[in-house]
Amino acid sequence: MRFGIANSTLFATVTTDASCGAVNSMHDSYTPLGGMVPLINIMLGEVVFGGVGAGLYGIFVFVVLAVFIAGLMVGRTPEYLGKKIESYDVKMAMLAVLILTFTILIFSAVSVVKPYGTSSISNPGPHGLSQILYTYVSSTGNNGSAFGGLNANTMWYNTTTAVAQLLGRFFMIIPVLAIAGSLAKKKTVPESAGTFPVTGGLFSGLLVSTILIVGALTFFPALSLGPILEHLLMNAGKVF
Amino acid sequence: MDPVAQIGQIRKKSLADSAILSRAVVDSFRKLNPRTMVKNPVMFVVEVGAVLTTIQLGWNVFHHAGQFGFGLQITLWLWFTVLFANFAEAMAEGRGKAQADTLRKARAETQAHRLRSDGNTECVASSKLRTGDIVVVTAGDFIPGDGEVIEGVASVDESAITGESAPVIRESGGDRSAVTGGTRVLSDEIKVRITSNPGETFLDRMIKLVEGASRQKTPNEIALNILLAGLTIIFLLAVVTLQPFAIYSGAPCWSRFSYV
Repeated sequence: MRFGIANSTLFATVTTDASCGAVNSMHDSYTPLGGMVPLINIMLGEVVFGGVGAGLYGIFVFVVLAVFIAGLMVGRTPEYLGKKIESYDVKMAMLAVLILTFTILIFSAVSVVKPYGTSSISNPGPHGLSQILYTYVSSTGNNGSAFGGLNANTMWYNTTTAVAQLLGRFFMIIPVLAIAGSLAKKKTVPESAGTFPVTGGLFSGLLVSTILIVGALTFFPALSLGPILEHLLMNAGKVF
Repeated sequence: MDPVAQIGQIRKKSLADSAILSRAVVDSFRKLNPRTMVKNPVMFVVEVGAVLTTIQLGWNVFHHAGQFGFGLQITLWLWFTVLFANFAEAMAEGRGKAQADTLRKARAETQAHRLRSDGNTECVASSKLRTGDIVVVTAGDFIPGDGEVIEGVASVDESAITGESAPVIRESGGDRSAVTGGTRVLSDEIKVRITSNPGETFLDRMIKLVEGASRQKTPNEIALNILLAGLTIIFLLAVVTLQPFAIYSGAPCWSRFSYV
């Protein structure tokens, strides 16, 4: 706690909102819900700032999905920046979201039931689940920060986090590049009265809810057994 | 019944037509066949889930394990979801079929006065007409098929096809000579050269369209299906991995047969 609570938590939030792996405190040492916030930030795809640097493609995937859903709601062929969003683009965007989910959940699920996964945990109970989740969320989500507390220097974690990084980084970039290629080829449609504006509050709300719904759908079950359960147990006077 | 009234009736067919309704109910069960269901991946997953929870419910009852009420509720919800989706689809199909039947009846009952080479007319069913036949249509008659006016001027009521209630003038020569089968001549007499064979007329194409046999999915529909399938996979992953997390969290062993 070198920098005090306020500075530490601010840094933790900012570092996980962008694809930045620097830390100035051990996220492992936070209260359960305090540790959950950085976890959620990365789970949502590090898009809270709208994607910094290479994180831009993270939010772009959600923009494609949100534009598509908005277009269907008003019964028009969805378009973004004058380019029509068609089934190929939606397919690639979904693929990018799927890869993130798949890598994090499958690796975490194997780690929590196998001895070579659980032996690295330094705190038993729900906190151990948070540690494992954070490891894979951070390595897949292109963040790089460590929760701390988990001994990741084992054969299992060294191998799987390496694979997770590979999948989370490059197999995320490939579908996004595919979308970019397909959009670049399309003709630009002139803006008309029926074009859904992507600058207003309505679209922002829609984009935020798309991100939250996809994120909640994917990770809420895991979070409820990790940080949320730990928080409830802590209030009941049980600490790990 | 005269065809115009029949075609008009199509539009009035109410949502709750009892024949269509009861047929749709039967069809919604018939569509549970996995081979039909697999065409709609999302509902197929729901059906598989429903079957699994039913098996598990039976297992629980047999072994007196788990919470019966909770399991029953989940099972019923899943089956209801699948059945309702099938029912909605069967309703749409049933209504399409009923409309097509009425249209087909309207076409079959029309009589045509075909002009023979000796100058007399003979009475034939409109479905017997071929391209090149010449028919005489007098006031009050239905035009038996798509064609071109080659002699005379007449006012034609085309409301059955276009919805336009005011009669329009059709005359030989120029660009107002085309007439459509199923419309009615209100005044005067015209000679029409038939330009389409049975099965290719405007009315036939309309029937095909309504029946939906050749309907293709719109691009947006395909894209939406991809989106929904993707979300289904994500949710499946979330649920499947919940079990290892639960085992880690120390859930008792029998729980895998009661909370799924």
